[in-house]
Amino acid sequence: MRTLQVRLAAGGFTLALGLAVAASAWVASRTVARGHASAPATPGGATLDPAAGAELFERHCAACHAPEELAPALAVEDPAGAVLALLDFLDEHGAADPREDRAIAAFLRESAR
Amino acid sequence: MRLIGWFVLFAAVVLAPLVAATLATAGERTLAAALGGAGGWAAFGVLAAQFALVTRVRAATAVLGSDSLLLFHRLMSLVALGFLVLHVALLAPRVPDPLARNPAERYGSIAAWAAVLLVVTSLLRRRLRWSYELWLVAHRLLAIAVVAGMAWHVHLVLAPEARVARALAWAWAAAALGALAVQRLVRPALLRRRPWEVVENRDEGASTRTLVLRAVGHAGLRFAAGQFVWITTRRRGLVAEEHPITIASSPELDGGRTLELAIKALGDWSREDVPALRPGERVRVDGPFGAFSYERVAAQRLVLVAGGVGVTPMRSMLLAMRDRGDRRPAVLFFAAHDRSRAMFVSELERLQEELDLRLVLVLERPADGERCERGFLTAEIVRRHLPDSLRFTHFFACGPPPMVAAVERITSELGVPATHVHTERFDMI
Repeated sequence: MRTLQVRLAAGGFTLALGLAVAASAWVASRTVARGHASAPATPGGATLDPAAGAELFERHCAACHAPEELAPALAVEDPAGAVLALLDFLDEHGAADPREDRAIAAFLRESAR
Repeated sequence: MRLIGWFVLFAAVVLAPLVAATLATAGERTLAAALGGAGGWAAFGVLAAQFALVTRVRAATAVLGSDSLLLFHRLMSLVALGFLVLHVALLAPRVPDPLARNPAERYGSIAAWAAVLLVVTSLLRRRLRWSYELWLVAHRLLAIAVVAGMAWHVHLVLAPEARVARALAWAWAAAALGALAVQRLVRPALLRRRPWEVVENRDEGASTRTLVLRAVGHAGLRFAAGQFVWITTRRRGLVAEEHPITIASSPELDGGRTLELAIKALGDWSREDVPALRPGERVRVDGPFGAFSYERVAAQRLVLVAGGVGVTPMRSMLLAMRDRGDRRPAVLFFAAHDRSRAMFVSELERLQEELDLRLVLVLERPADGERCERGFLTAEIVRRHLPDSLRFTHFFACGPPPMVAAVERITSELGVPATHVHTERFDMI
């Protein structure tokens, strides 16, 4: 193949992929989630059900902490950094695994609202 | 499979993770987060598929050409990097930290930085003064880090219910790493059962040596004139080096049981290891590969344009035409610095008496009284030696990238259809 043909193929493919990314983002953001008008996002992108986080909080954290004690730390303008800091803390603290930590963070973020 | 089929297959491999992830995470995120997530999946798909572009699938290289696949591979790496930057910019509130305590962030950061290093070291290899072998080892290790890091990162960030997306991510990572393992471990083991022996190591002048190889205990190689092989000689330190070399002999020579490889002294291997090869030594040959052959087209006239060592596939094609009694008209434009650097020139001049062939030497520094064209190849020089009508004429150009680019421009000026122009670029890596 000529150089130009290869570059055109790559350019066309990139354009198609860009459109696919945009379409995916539109689909992912438009459909209403089960039982939640807008679930909060956690760093890493995927969100988790705050209700599941509430249950996990009850199981792993409630013995020593109340949600209103921790949630205010997330009630900031840009919570992403605060949530990351919380996840770092939870990683070393408590028995929940990383996925459960994110659900707990989602619950606290929801509580902060 | 035709060209469009390979393209569709590649697109399917790249898009499958994105589609699965979209379905798994639909309705759970803001537009910015969704865009960042989708960008990450696009980067994942492209990076995993990159392995397929360079794993030497003979059926693919026969249609697309190895140098075209390599160029596409390089362009796709930039595309993947772009989507990766989008992913990080929209979803990560801080610079990726490979030492982060959060494992999802840690593995994602490792993958991201490995991808950046992979692209940067590839673009700047010559400026960094890295040997090809050192760069190749680093490239493979970084690629493994990218794919493994991405898969772990995805495994940790996806919700538990996203089983299909998670399984697809692991499957794609396993396929990519499996392809590498097949190329680096399985294939060499199989090739060791089909060894080749050095019969002769001939000095051709013009800093070129011809290795004559004979198949040991097997039927040899069936190849199309103009294709190339990867040859592995003895180990240098820990690394057994592989090098792509065009087959310079006719496919009719000894029924494919004997190969001639013309190797120009360009690097450590060709300057030191190749001249040291002795008759009786064994080498490994993997191939044939490539789409650069007159046998794949229906041409009534052939125009061959060679620059320097790019004459080797042309020699193979012309010798094949001689052996098969093919009397189609052919013109060979052979560009070199001077006659002493035009390898096989005497043999090519003799072939003019056995074929309907015109040899046009294009020399930058011709000797006094030398009958040739002077300077670099131009459209005017080409027009002077070809008829006005170029219908059913196919052009084959092989040599350094600037020369090949010049031929593409010239043929475009002459109105030659793109499907009638076939190129092979040396010095792609």
